[in-house]
Amino acid sequence: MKIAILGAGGFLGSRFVETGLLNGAFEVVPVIRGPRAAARLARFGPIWKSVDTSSPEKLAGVLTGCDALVNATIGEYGAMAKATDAAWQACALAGVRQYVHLGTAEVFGTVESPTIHDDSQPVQGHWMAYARAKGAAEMAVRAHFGDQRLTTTVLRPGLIWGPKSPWVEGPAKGMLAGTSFLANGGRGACNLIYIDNLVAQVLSVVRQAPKVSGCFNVSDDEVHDWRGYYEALARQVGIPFSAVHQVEAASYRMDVGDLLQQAKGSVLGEWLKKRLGPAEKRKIQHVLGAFKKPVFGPVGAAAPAVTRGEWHLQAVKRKLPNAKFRGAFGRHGEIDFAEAMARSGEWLRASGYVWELPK
Amino acid sequence: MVSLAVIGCGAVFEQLHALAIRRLISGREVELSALVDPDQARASRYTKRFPNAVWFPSLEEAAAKRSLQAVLVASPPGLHRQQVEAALGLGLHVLCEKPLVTTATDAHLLARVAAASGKCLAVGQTRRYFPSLAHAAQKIRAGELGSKLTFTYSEGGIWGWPIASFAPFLRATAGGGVLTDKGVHILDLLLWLFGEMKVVSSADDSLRGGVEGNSQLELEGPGVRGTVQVSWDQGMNNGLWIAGEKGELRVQGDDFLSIDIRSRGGNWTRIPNEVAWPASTALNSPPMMTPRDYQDCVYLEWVSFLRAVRHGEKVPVDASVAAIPIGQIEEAYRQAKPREEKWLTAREQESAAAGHWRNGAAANI
Repeated sequence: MKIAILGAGGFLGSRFVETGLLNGAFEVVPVIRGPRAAARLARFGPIWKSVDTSSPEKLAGVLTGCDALVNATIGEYGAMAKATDAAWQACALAGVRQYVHLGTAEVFGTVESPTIHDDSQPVQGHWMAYARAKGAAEMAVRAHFGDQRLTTTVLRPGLIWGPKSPWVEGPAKGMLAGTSFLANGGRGACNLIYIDNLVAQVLSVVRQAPKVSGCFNVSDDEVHDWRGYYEALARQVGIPFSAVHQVEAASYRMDVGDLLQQAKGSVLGEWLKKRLGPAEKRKIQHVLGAFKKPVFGPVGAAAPAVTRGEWHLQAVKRKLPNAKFRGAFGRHGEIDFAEAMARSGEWLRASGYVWELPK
Repeated sequence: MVSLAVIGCGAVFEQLHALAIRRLISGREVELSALVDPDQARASRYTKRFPNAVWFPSLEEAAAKRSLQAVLVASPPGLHRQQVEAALGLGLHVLCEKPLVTTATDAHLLARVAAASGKCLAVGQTRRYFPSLAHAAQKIRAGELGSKLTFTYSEGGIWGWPIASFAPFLRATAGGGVLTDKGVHILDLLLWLFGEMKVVSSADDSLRGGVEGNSQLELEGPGVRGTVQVSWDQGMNNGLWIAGEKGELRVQGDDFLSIDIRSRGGNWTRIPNEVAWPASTALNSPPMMTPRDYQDCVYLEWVSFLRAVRHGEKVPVDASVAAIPIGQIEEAYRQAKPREEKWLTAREQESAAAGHWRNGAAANI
């Protein structure tokens, strides 16, 4: 089986490539948009296909002979829907029979309604630019569901965690710095999917080659709240759970950092990003750096670093059901939370998240 | 003013040096006269920002048509040896981006060429201007940590350079992976802090045909030993932790403002960095600067180079000093074993070990 992975230089894409190459269970064609994306693949040698992925014709040129294309790209938010459509068109041109689109559960925001299901449409007007862009990309793909030339599968993972994941690294860093927090007692739903389980679920789809296009929420089977997840992570980095700040639900206020983040994701922000050269960006960072106010003296308890993104995620009401996926594709080669957390702990320790001096 | 040429108008020039050179032009310290790059279109992107700079396809042509005194070499490492040698041969002072070259033999050769030419050959090891590390060096030299030092250093981050070619990821053009790229910075600063150390062990994740994205070293020298880990494909808990018989200190990631210090078993205290360097080439009472970000450090590196050009002052890293970490990297590659990746499946770990680039055994990759 020959599978092309678009976004092969990303966190998920590179793990997909690694799985293919080290396990040898499938042939993988890593597709990237340029040299910048090659770092995570460099250990394997120049195995990548570098191509302008916005051009269906050019992309089709590297897909010949592939059974499936898995799209794990993010790219520019403003161009995401168009790029997603270009990938689908490339499959049609190259005769690739399956297109697997990696969407996100974030298109449903905080999952306010218990009636949200796999075929629901993304929420409108999400505050997060990323979620809006992913929603638009998903709709671009769904527009092809009736096209018989290939089968299109949309998978919506929640928080992809595990070794090298920002959802492991970020909380671990926060715990070590004393800035991590839990809102509302950590009772919000933590919609996790371990990276290797997601790879296994993608492979299940490709191997079983569904005849009908469709959308599926995908996740680990266990149900966790944020408290349970943070307790397990704290054990891995050797930090007492009591060091995680408990923050009142009503205490969050949007700050300058949040506003800047939001501005970056706006149409104007994306427009500026494209027009400002690296030197101008550096200059802006240089000027902003002057406003940093360091605190000297005894190193004590730090204040919680509450960002809008984390705050929002901890407010998710309920775990999205994955029954439709299980019914269609079953469960193959996945691992449970305890084993996944143990592997994540190995990675954290190997990456210096437990301070140790040589013996 | 020193008349300057830049060789290599790619990401390193754009991201690191362009801003510093503009500051130096504003301060009437330099004039950028020539942009040397085989790709005219790439060089031409800078002619608006540097209106006096003219494009040339080769340094020889630039030197023939412009009156030059110094050159910045910011091309891929595989080209450095020949370009530095040519520049020194033309009687130019040279600031060369790291790594100077990819073998210690070449570094020593360039040291001899520079000595014979009487010109300055400085290597861009910018971290010598990180105030937290300079502060740490002061504490070590003052004996505040005591003897029998141990240390651990971690630095990881996902590659973000807007490069135009795959050269940094190919052994033939880069000489290696992250150890050559980032490791040379780290080994230079450890040389500065602790003196010369030998490589005790080395592990990396490169498979045959590739370059390493992660590298781990154990180092040992007189009265000091420690570990280094570096990555360009993942984040790490970035920082340096040093412990001696009397005390400990920590430098957190890219904190330019402070270090944490404590007596052995005591409580950590955060203290400000008050290390400063000359911020101009004025010989008498130059203004002093404590850098607050990487851009400031690059600027100070330039000032140090220009002070060497104008007043003959010694630069922190010349070719002889640069040869030491380059030699350590060569030794690390000689000793390299597969890195333990316990988070992978057993089969993946076996496969990665069997396919390791230093492993002659047959592999399934």
